[in-house]
Amino acid sequence: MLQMVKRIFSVALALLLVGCDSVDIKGLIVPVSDSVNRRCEQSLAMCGDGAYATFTAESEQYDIYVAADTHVADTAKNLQQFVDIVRADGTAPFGYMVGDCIDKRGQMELYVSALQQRDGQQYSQPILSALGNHDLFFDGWDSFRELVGPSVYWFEAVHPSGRDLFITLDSASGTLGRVQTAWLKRLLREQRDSYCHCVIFSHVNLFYTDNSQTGSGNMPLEESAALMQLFSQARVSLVVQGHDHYREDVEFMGVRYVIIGTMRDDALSPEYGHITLTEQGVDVEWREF
Amino acid sequence: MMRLVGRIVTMLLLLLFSGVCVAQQGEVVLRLQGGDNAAFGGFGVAQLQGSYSLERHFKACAGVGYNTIGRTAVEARPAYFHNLNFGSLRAELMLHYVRQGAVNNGALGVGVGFECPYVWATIGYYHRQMWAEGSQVAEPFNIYYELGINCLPKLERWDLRVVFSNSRLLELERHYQPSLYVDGWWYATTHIGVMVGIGYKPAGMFNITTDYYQLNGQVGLCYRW
Repeated sequence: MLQMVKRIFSVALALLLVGCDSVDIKGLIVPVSDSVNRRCEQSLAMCGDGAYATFTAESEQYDIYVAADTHVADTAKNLQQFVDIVRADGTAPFGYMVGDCIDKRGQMELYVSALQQRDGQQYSQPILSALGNHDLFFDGWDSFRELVGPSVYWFEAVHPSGRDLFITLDSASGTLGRVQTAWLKRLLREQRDSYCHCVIFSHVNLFYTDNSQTGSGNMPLEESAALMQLFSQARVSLVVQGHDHYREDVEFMGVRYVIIGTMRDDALSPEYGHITLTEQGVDVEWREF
Repeated sequence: MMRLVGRIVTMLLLLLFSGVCVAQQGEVVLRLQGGDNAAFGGFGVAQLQGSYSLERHFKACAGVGYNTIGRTAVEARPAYFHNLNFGSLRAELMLHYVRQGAVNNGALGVGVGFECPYVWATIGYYHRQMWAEGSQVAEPFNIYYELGINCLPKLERWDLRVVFSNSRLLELERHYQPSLYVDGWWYATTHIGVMVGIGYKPAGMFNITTDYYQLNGQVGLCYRW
């Protein structure tokens, strides 16, 4: 009996210390990368005070394509197909991936290579990324920062009638943390009124309307409620989320929250989001491959 | 919905405090908390909690609390106990309401538990409804749980408890958002005592990317009869 207990303890301890290549078990207890405050500080230092990027849309109505939870692990077929779709549409100023880019240790190079321009792609829009919790495993922030870029930033799309504001949040640790919360409040207070639409990208979703992913979590309720009010007061047009792997479409306090389902290669029905911005509003359509 | 919850909570509170004349045991605790939160910074909480036991079979806990982040919480938990030689089994109802700014949360749950001198455990299911400004969202798939250890169960005047929970009274969270508490109690007289405690709440624990979220300390004044 004692021997068995010792073995179970040893296996548990070994798992806790090293995990496997996909799940960094020690993240149950201690941060697996830099804290969210540190990541935010580093990201803001990379971006400076201004927009991380400025894109141009040919008309007031334009499309953007959004993928989520690609979980790249040895292959990136669906991600490459998504990039092909984005780069076949010249009206889309950019594409976007809402986090959990990779699923295994050391896959960030493969993820980034799938975003590179390839033969046959007519256009060359960039694919921007948010940081997901899986991207943080095994000190993943270092490779994300080096190969992909910041985890907290804002950018804009300029069109003939004005500009639209896009904000990327780092919710990979289940909280925005103090630095990012202050930054977000200041950004919305100072910049929001200069833009037509405001779209926010966050890997972790705010609502828990179904049991599709029992184990994984959202943000604490107090923080979620505060963000819902902040987004409502700032007239945020759309919050695009991932993490849950199943589509969701919720409107709360005048703000639309959507989840784009997973695009991982072994998904039964991989999908992406097709978002259309017009003068009248923002529309979302889910499309399967 | 809000009015219904309010009425139920009021009735339970009246039941709790009007039962003094036939009480076997009751306790009222005034708690003051202070702490640091990753999203809100410094905060303070005042809570009034009460519990009342009747004939070893019934117990009701209720409380009301205000957090300086603008959060008001009310909760009541009536429970029935079935006593065994080595402890007791418990079935409880949980009614919880929170208002934070314009956002309202109401939760209705049922749970079962086990208690013995050294440990107690609770697990239950609850439905949450969120509403604000004419919009509402249902969160129908939630689990609440609590695992506690009584470190000094043999001592009459002292107690030290270690608790892992997502559902302490007035602190109901989603199931992936547990907190860890350590509470100490000392009764100076038969009726009057004090408590001190600390609590730690991480974020992202079930995402396996845990990060600091909240640390708090609390002191309390207790009266029991």
